[in-house]
Amino acid sequence: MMKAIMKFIYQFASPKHFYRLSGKIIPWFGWLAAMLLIAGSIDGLFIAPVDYQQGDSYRIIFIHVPAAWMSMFIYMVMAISGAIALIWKIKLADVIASSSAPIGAAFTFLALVTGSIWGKPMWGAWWVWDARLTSELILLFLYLGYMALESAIEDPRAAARACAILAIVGVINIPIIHYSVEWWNTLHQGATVTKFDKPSIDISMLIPLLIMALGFKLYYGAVVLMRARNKVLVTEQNNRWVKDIINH
Amino acid sequence: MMEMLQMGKYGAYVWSSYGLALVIMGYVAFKPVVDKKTIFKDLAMKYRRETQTSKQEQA
Amino acid sequence: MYKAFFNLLKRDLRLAFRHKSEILNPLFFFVIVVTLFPLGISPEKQMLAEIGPGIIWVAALLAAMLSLDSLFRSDFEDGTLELMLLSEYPLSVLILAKIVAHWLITGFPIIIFSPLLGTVMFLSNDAIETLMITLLLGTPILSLIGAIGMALVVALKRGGMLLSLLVLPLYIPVLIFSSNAVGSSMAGLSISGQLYFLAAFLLFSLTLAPVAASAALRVSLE
Repeated sequence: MMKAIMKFIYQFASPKHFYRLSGKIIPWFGWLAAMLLIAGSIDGLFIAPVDYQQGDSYRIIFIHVPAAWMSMFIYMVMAISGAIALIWKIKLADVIASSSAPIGAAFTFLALVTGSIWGKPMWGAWWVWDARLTSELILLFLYLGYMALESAIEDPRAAARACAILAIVGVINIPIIHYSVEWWNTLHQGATVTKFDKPSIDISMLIPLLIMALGFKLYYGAVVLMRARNKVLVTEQNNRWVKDIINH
Repeated sequence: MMEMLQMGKYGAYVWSSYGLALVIMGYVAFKPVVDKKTIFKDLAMKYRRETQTSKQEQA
Repeated sequence: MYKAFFNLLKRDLRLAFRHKSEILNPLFFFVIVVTLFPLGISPEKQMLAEIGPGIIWVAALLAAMLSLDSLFRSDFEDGTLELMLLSEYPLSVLILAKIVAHWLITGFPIIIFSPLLGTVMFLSNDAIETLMITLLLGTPILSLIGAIGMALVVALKRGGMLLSLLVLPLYIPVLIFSSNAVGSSMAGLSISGQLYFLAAFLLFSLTLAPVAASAALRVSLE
């Protein structure tokens, strides 16, 4: 049974098969993501009611929170696919990990900047050492380190394996970093009041948030597959099937 | 309508956030599309060169 | 296996004592960096006592990071690492020996000298005691995590800057809890929570870091 499953996985993960299948999936993910993101933005910008404390500025969280979720999620994807690549020697997993890194970094950056834009009217300053913003900043450093390591090692296979180890070490450390930053922040509570984490969020605000979160996930799915396809084409360029696709 | 766009006094903050998201996510999404085109062009050229040289060798 | 561990440890220590700069340079660096702050900010007692714990810990962090190069570099260049890879003993045990040696060479002198710097920064006696305890618990963590980063970059020509990018974010929890413990004991507060955290983090990295570092080393030497 296990053997059959592994055989299926290897077959699925073969570059040729992946290229064909992902070509079919991308349009679905892409268009669904676009629809969800447009619908979520309209809902979040115009339909969701005004927050009685924060006014309209809270509408930024429909970008900020999903982006922050994605930044964590993508780092986890990188670590998991890195582990898969190390254990089962599935090359495709490496491709997914390295294709994910710039997308994750972009989401982290977006979460940071929108958090700071949101904070300006709330705190009266562009930057406050809030627990979530600080964690997000450290996560950005982790992404930058990952990408710097990747570009520093010339042999792509060695780079992929080194990056996989780094991502696994990073993902083990993220909860520890997160916990220590939270702890540090509650000690210095005087400086900031966190308003991101509301204990209860109204359902009319939750719906656009979830729509946006799903849209972000599908968007990531489409983009990471596109990037992975490009990498597969380049690395497999001496194979028959790539020639057929190009010359077609 | 204008009132809706102004978002109370927070219009600039909200719109710049959504605008930034659009710019960043748009760039990240269209980069691989452009990349794909250049990869196709480069590879097609490479293959053409290869077949030419192999033909010359045969001749 | 114990014999291999201790032999390697002894060898590394002997080599370090032959090149005294390996022991002294991180220490000088540590002292100089701490000295810069009163000059750059203000020699006022209150100010220094408040920022002292953080500054001493940041300096220790940087000294530990900059000394990481000596952990694998020379062994990489003369091929000793390749021999370690081929040895019959588990690589992680050998790496642990190297990490322990590195800590004894660079971390331990810092702990010995820290009371001096604590005094210079006007820390109270309790705080100096806490500073030494946190350094005792924290600097081994720095060596352990640093070994992973160093193993990843050892084969690269210009790995130094990259190493700091990889390692410093992972050092943040140690910095937060240690410098906070010192500050808290200045204020007469309980510090057991912080010390428990550091001890747990130390045990955690003691078990996992040698394994991760040996995996990274295998990739680097391929």
